[in-house]
Amino acid sequence: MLEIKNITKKFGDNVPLDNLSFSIPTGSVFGLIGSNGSGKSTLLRIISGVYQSDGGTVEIDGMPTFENPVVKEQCFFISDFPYFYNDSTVENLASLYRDLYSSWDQEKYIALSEMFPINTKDKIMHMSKGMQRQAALILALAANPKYILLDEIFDGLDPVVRQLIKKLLMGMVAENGTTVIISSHNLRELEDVCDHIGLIHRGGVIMEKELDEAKLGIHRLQVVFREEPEEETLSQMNVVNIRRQGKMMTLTVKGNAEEIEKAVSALEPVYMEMLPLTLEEVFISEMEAVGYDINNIIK
Amino acid sequence: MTLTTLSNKSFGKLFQWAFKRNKTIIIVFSILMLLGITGVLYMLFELHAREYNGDLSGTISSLSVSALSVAQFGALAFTFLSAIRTFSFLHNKRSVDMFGALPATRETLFLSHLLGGMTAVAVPYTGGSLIVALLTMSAPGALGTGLLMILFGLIGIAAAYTFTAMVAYCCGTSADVVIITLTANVSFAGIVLVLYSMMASMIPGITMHSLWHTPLIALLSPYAFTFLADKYYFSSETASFIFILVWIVLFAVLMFAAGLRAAKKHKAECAQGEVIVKWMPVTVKSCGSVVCGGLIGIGAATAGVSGSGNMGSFVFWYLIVSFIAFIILHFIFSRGFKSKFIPSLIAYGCTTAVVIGLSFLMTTGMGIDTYVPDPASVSSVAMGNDEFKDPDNIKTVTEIHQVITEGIRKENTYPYYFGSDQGYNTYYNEENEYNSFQKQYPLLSSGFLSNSFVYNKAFGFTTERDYSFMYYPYNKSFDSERIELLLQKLVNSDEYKKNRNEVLWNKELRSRVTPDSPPTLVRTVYLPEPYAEGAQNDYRIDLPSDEAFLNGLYDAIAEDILADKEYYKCLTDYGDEEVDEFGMDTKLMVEISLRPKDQNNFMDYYSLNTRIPTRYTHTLSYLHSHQILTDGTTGYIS
Repeated sequence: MLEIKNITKKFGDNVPLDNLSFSIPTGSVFGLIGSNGSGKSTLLRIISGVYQSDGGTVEIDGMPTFENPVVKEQCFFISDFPYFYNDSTVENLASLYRDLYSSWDQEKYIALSEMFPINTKDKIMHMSKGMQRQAALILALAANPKYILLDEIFDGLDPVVRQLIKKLLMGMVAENGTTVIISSHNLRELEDVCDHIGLIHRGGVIMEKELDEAKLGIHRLQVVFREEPEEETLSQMNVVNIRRQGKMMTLTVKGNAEEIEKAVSALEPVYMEMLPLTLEEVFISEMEAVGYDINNIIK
Repeated sequence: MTLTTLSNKSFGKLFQWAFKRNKTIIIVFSILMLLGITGVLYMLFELHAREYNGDLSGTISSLSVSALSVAQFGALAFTFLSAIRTFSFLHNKRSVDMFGALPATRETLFLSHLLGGMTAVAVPYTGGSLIVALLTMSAPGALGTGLLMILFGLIGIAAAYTFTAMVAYCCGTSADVVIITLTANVSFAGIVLVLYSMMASMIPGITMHSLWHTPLIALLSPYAFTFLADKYYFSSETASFIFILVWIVLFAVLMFAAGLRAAKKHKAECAQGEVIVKWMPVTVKSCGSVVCGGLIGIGAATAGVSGSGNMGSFVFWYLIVSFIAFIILHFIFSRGFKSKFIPSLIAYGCTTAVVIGLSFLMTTGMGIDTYVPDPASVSSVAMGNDEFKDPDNIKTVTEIHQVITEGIRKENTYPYYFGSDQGYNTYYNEENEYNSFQKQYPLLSSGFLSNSFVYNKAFGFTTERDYSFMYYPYNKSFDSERIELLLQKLVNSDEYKKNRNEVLWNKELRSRVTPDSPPTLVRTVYLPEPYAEGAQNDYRIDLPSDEAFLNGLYDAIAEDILADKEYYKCLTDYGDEEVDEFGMDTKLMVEISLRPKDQNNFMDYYSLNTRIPTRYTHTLSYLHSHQILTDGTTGYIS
């Protein structure tokens, strides 16, 4: 269990994380989503022990991560732009990590090196952005950590490699009970792998729950009324968003599906259909609820 | 905690990593060392091949010292490059992510990078230098000196590396590390230089010369430590040597502790560009401004660019130049004017106030100009090349010094002006005055004893004063008569006589030296004015060179000199001349030039050059008994 307790981080006057708390169950794939500058990367750096928080703690199995090599050995962090020296190769970095991570799996390293289209003796700096991420992933997966922290890992990867990575991550979760924390704006990819999501905005948690539960808690309905009900009537239903296209209204409503259906039926619509929501739509809806929507940005 | 860190596996791996990260530096430095060794080998081969007939050992020894000094310089240059490169991972957000997430503590990261980088510089340096020391070990003492120089180099590397590492943890960018390391190394030395220059420009007796004898100037310049240790070692300045060695070690330990603390407290996010320890660039900016202002201020005041060279003109120029320098430095450091201008300005203002305050204190309020050491606290004193250890002579020297300081205060404006001769316009410079001065005060006017004083005190402390700039001794401010009498007393002392004519009393020296050319007895005849103005004739005769004769001669002269109550008259024209049968002034002199036996080099010469007046009865009888002198007292066989 990874527990984030009242984490606060300040960069001068800027406070990207403000008293943030939630926990991530062991063996889950946790999607960390949020607006730009919401503190996702900062949170990952605090979890991995790169940054020291200004308040609160991050604990893995009850032990703090900061300045704790025993706990840090269970984590592997790939930042949004993995760093390599000019002369770094996958092979010489593997020699570094091999001795630093007691869980290093050499056979797995060899297998991964063959699986990804990378020459481990080539200088990583000469590789493309996507290849560099693959190199970092080979090292992270071969280190066989209990916690893998990935920041924007899908950026620059082709769809096939994205599929491969998702498969490998799922395999690690299934076989070793590895916990994967992925921060990304690519919600489509997250939707495929995550079983939990955490939505953070302006340093705080807006939502942290299982993906299915998140999706079940918000619904989209397409309805056509003979006569449009008054705003007051709709607002009683916890409607987050309304879009109109002619007579057709698309409502995004929070709450229990049956109760929502019952409430709308009471308004005697001519047509009503409940539609499934994507993670992206959940994200937009939740963010709109806190005032972060395109209309607010444009004005 | 630190020892535990050194033994853990992550330290070992990261140490290797940091060492390998410096492989370019190791290769380049090793190649340069090999080239140096080849050069040394070639020179040694040349020396032996052309059968060098000079001081071969001395030349090899010099070659060893020069080569090892160059190696030290190289080691420190590579220390700078290596430290910047090794700790550059702190200044890139992405590399901070990589290293920060590794399963290692910050202490481990600091120690492994520090020791790995230092080893990368130390290995080629030590290896190459050891080879040079072994190649030149044929020169007596060269191996020991070489090993010591290698040690100085190594502790210098440690001090410089730990300092740069500490700076790296305090800065947000590698560019700042470079700027701060360089400016910090020169700024403190610069402030000391400014204050000392000011004292030397204003206070009579203080010279820049003594600045180079004090380790104070390089107290915060770790990249200069090694060279300072070399200097004090070779010039046998024991106290300064011990001080600098202790200081280097202490400094390295302090920087190590500070670096370790900075590493633990370091905010990783400062790779984004913020400087953590704000005082460091602020201090460097202030010091740099002060140094620029101070040096230009002293120069302008001394040259009389404005005003009469008083403190006011210095302060005027100081403020203008230092403020311009501050603005420029701030612009360079901050890449503009917005960042921390007000705190920097306040720091600059405080430093300026301190420097001006110190300037006034040092040049007007601390009694430096009138200070004469208490004779009881002085173990020895040197006036020029003559050294006195006898308490009576030390007291006499302090009395001479006292007379000079009283003369300065009596005649001159206080506080003093910048410039060497301001306020000292009363010289014996008219021809008749000058001649009369010379006649009246022959010892003083001949500059027989130097006008510089170097007092050696307890724990190796020294006090130095030099009054040559005031046209000493032709300065009417001084009580010349009193100085002349004190000088007579000083040169009449047994200590002075023995030091001046060492070969007469030092039997061991006698056994080691031999006449370089035949010893000579000279009779100088001064012709009276009507015959030839100021002319003189020399009549010379070679003396036997055999040791038995010379030993007898030395003993006779020694006995006469020691018994001579008016020895000072032998040194100058005190009217102690003999008058020959023609009524002409004559002097009888013994001149012997001595060099070490079995050596062809042209150094280490001694000489015996002494006048033999009629009262030197032992010497004259000895010369008579060997039939060198024939008639009366001063004639000799020609």
